[in-house]
Amino acid sequence: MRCDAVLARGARAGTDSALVFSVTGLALALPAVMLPFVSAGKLGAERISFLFTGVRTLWDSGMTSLAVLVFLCGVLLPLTLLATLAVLHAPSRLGWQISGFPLLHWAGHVLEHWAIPEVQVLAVLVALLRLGSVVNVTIGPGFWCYCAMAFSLLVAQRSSNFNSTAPAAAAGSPP
Amino acid sequence: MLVPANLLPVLSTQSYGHHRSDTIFSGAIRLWQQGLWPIAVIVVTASILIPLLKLAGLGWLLFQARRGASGNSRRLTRLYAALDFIGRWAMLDVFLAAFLTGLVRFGELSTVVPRAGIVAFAAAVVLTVLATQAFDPRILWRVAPS
Repeated sequence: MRCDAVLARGARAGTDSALVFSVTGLALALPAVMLPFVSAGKLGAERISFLFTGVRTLWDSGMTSLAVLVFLCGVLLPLTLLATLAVLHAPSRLGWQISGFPLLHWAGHVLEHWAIPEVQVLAVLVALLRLGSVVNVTIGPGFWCYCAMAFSLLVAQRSSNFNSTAPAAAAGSPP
Repeated sequence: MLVPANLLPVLSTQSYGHHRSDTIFSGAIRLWQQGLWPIAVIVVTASILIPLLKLAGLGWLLFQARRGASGNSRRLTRLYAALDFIGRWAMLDVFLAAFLTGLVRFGELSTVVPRAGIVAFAAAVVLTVLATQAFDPRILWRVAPS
């Protein structure tokens, strides 16, 4: 606080929740990638889609820039942000000493603008509503794991605060 | 980039031999006509309203920043935070196109193919996000030179 104005708030639930949810999100990433995402059927023909199916189809269609963008914003950057959050909060809990803390802090601040799995979740739900009358769709376990991963990332982000020096102070590094 | 994004078709649908291409707006109208008005509202909001609001909001912030702090700095900073938050949701149509393209591939029965408009739209979204990040909200608190 300064001059009765709140400049920054520390993490509400503490660094433990950020660490727990970031590790949980990372653990959910593997089944989200490996398990079937959504399956669709039409007149006896069935197609099973995985998390990367859309990216691969865009790439094969020649829309490589779009495929890269979807891959980055929907998969790679969320995973990178989860890993960054885990590395940022682990030292304070486990008593580690890490170097490069300011760089990781900056990376997390940049990544949070581009790691948007929640938007992909909404897009899939909208697509399923749109397709419901055209094809028979079934949601697979991979989609639920991806939703849980996106939720874990959101909670881990909310429990962190890239605008304050609270994590830096907890890790013993200078702000 | 928003001009080609809204003028060019974003998706082509082939169903039982019938071929149809849709822009963002015509696709939303078709959803409305099919009774899927909540989805139409979501698509119009994410694909048309949000990018326009972001551009208008950033323009307003730049204009106000040139005038210097005038007592509205707190409100303008909140506007910036709101623009920063809503920008990500404009990617909805990009993810939607990618998902439909990957899933609906039943040959002549039903196939969805992405078109150039979605590439232009994705470029517009990326540029608006970069523009928001390039804007430093601290300049909203700078006092105008007398």
